[in-house]
This record gives sequence, C-alpha cells and structure tokens, in this order.
Amino acid sequence: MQGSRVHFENVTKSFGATVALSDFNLDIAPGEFVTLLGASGSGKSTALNILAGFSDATSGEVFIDDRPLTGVAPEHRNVGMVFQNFALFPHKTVAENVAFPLKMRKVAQAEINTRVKAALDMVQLGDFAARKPAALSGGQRQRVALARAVVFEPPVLLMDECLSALDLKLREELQEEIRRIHREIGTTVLFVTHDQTEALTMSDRIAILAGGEIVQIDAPEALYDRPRTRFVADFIGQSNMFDLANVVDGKASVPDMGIEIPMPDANAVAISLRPERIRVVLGDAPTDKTIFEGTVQDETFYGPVVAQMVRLSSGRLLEVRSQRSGHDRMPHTGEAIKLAFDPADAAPLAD
Amino acid sequence: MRKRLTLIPGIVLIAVMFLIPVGIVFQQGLFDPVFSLDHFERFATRGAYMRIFWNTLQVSAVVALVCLLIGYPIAYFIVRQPPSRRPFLMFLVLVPMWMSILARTYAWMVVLGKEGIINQSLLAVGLIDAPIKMLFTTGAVYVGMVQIMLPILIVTCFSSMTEIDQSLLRAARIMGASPRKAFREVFLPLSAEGAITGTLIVFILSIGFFIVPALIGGRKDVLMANVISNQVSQTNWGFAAALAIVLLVATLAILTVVRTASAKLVHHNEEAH
Repeated sequence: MQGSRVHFENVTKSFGATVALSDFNLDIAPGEFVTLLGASGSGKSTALNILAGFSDATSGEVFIDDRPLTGVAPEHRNVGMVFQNFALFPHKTVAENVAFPLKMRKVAQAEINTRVKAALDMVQLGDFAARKPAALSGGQRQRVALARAVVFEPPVLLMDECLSALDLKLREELQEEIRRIHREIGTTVLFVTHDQTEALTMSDRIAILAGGEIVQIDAPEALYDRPRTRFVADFIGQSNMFDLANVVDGKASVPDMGIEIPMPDANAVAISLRPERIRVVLGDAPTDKTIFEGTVQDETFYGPVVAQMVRLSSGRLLEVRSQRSGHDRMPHTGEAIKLAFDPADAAPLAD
Repeated sequence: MRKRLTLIPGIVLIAVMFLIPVGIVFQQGLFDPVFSLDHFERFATRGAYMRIFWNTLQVSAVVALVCLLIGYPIAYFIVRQPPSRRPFLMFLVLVPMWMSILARTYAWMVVLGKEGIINQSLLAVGLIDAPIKMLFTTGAVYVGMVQIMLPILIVTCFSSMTEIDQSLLRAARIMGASPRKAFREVFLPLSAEGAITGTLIVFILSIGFFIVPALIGGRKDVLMANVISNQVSQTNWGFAAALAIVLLVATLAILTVVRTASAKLVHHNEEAH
C-alpha cells in the first residue's frame, strides 16, 4: 500500500472569538509518520478533526494527494482513525467491528472474512474474533481499534491521543506495535499526543503546537538538540536556559556563568543546555571545553544516572546529569565543582 | 448480619405497601368465602368482558406504539442539540406532567368539543359547515392517552440516548458509513433497549387507564379499569378483584414475552464467547 501526501494550507479555525488554529501549514510526505505535539487547547485535535471531516475550517484548505477536502463528507475521505476512547461498537463482536469499514465499502463477504482475519492476526487477536469489546482489556480494545482503522488499507491514518488511556507498560508495547504496523503497511500517519516521549520515540517528524500555531517542526533528534525557542526547549525534555549578553562578532557572554562563548547566531538571546551535555570536571580541566564553576546543592540518584542541582555564583540553579561510569568519586552536596560543556551543544534560542 | 438487618425496613415497606394489598386482591378474587373460580368463569363466559379485555390490550398497545413513533424522533432530535440547549427542551417535554391527568383530560374536552377550539376554528375558516364529532370517540381516547404518556417515553428514550458515546457515530462515519447508515448500524441498536423499555412502561401504564376513556371516550370505549371501578362502586369486590388479577397476569405474560424477544435483539452487554 502507498501512503498519501497530506497538506494543510493556511488553515484557520475559530470558535466564536477563540482561535483554535491560526494560519496552519503542514506538508506531510507519503508514508511519513508525523506527530502533532502540544498541550490541551493547542489546536492539535482541531487540526485532526478538520482532516477527518468532523469540523470545517473557517478558512484555508486541506488536501490529500492534491484533492481538496472542503465539502467532502468523512465517509468519502478514505481515512482511517483510532480514537482516544477506542470507540468500538459495543453491540458488535470484535470481528464485526473490524469488518465494519469493509462492509460499508460493499466488499464481498468472503474477502471480508479473509481481511478481518489478517487484520486481527496482525494485532495478535485472532482468537478473540467472536468476543464483544466489553470482554476485552484496555490494551486489547485499542488493538482492535487499530485493526479496524487499517483493515481497509487507508492511505492516511489518524490517531487521536489513542494511547493516553492506557498504563505505561501497555503504552510502550502498543507504541512498538504501531511503529511495526506503520512500517508494514506504509500508510501516512498523523498522530496526536501530549506525551513528548511518545512523540520522540515514534515520529519521523514532530510538530510542536501552541496557541493554534506550529512553533517548530523537525525530526525528533533535531527538535531535542536544536530547540529554537525557550518554549520548545522547555516542552521537550529537561533544559537549562541562560540569557546571553553582548552578542557581537560571533561571540556572546553568559552572565550567569561568568564566561564568554562563541555564538555564530547573531539573533540569539539565550542558550539551551541539556543536563546530560554538561560534564562534571574531575581532575584536569579539558582545554577544548568551556569551564565554569558552582556548588552542588542537591543530588538525585536514578540508578544509571545521577542528577545534581548546581548553584552558580550568580545564584542560578542548573541541572547536570552524569552517567555513573568508571570509579571516580562524584562530588557530593555542598562541594564546589567545575563544570564543562562543548559550546556546540549550546542551542541558540531566538526568544 | 448487620447488612441483613438494614434490609428489614425495606422489606417491611414493600410488604405493607405492595405484597399485602396484592395478597388481599388475590384472596378477594379467589375466595368467596371458600375457594371458587366463579368470578373467572363469569369473566370468560360473558362476551362483553372478554371484548373489553382485548380492547384494553389493543388500545394500550396502539398508544404505546404511537408514543414510540412520535417520541423516539423527538428524543433523537433533543439529543442531537448542543448540550447547553437540551435541558430547556426536556423542560418543555416535562411541563405537561406537572398538571394532573384530570385537568389535562378536561382540557381536551375544551379542545375537541362541539364548541371546542378546533371545530370553532374550522367553522370560522369555512372548511366545514357543521361541527365534527371528535369528543366521546375512540380517537379522542387515543389522543388523550398519547398526550399523557408521551413525556414518559421521551424521557426514557432520551436518557438511554445520552449514554451513547458520540464518538461511535464519528467512528462509523470515518469508516465509510453515511449518516443514515451510521444511524442504522450504531445509534438505532444502541438506543433500542431504552426505546423498548419506554414502550413497555407506556403499555403497562395504559392498561390501568380509566379517567381518559371515562371522560372523553364514547360508550364503546370502556377499558378494564372502568369496569373494575364500576364493580367496586357496586361493591362487587370479588369480581373486581378477579378482573384485576386477569389484568395483572396478562400484563406479566406480555412483559415476559416482549422482554425475552428484545433480549435476543439487544444483547450488547452480554459477554459472548
């Protein structure tokens, strides 16, 4: 199967005075797995509902493979969807649920049987065909919902916070399963979540939404390593952010650390430093790194990782995460330490 | 033990309010003063009583089905409204229930009578030359009973419809169902149980009706409750009790049949294997 290209063009949606989506543009390549990540009210579900046909854009247009969708009813969009609350039909068996999209497309009964069986086998629920949804666990229900959404091989698959109702272990299992199925069937996926880990582990690209706009869209690594705004740096993972001063001639000073770093980006007003990119200096200081000083204020033991809160001379707190390798003695609470980072790891923030 | 003790007030209440009266009815109908089935024989052999009995069941069934046909679409319409507008619409549905059945039935006399609103308007417009006889007809009984029963059916249907997850209908649509197909495949089966329950409640309540037929029905439109009331006023307690027993047994029999049939139709909560 081939996925379709999905394209949002200047889509705006307002409910009365509230703007849910403003001038939303997104281009998804065929077969790509794109996640809309944002807090509730950021507009991610609105975008999904407009693509599904459950609500109309106030202005702008959505395309699937160059076909404009305004005025096309949901049943004619040929889009698969997995809902947050599963939305399985309680009065139908698992097999009847999965057969539903095929039945609506008037597929011959013999072929329906074959395809339903294949879809249920794909989600490892072949033995549950005759059960009612009420007799299944949460994870099994979501698998049925997944089988039902892909059984008619839709070129576009939408997933609306579909794992958030499950507990952590099940969620991780299903994330893995969704990725496998995505690889197998090659459909274009638009996934909506507020869970950043889910977004990072599953997506080809992540679009971070806030206030109805895409703040940044990038591959997971790029998003994590190179956040462009304080909002993104804060939203994805842990981050230490420091204001810059005197950004001139490719250099800038970091007043909180009392140092100067190279800064090629003339528009930068701050930097983001991930806690694991800062090293505690034990023994001789490396010459290729930027060095600054502080006092360990607090530490948290995570097993393979130790997190230390370090108080700088300016009074600012900063988090450092260190792998516990080797036999070096880590400095403890109350001790003065030296910290080092590679200036290339400091992501410049535009605001 | 303490759990059982707390049940006692409830059991006493049901016994006093329900079991003892029903027991007395059975005793009155079956013992006069020794055990005899004379009253039942009288009921079965006199054609008039049997006719009234069947008429009662038939009128009740028609009223229940008419209520279903009118009430289900109304309930569906209200459920489809934005949640903020629903309470007001349900309020409108319930307003008539706050008035006594007697007052509402007398109101129909004003509407349907020879000098009533309908006849007066039709005469004024010139559509008819002489008043149409509407009061004291079988039609008047149906109109009066349906008007009184309709809110009950709407409320029952409405509450079962509000429990249907709206995302199920969206799911049906995105999987290729037209609005009509989504209704037939998802909404109708899921609301059927409430609709059947509402229809049964209307049917059972209709079987006991006597004010409406007595006030606005014709001489032929006598129902079982009217006969029972007559017998009581003539102090034929035994025969009145026997008629009540016949009605009770018939109602239970019909309930059982309809429940069994609908259980086969609506069984989505059952865990199939």
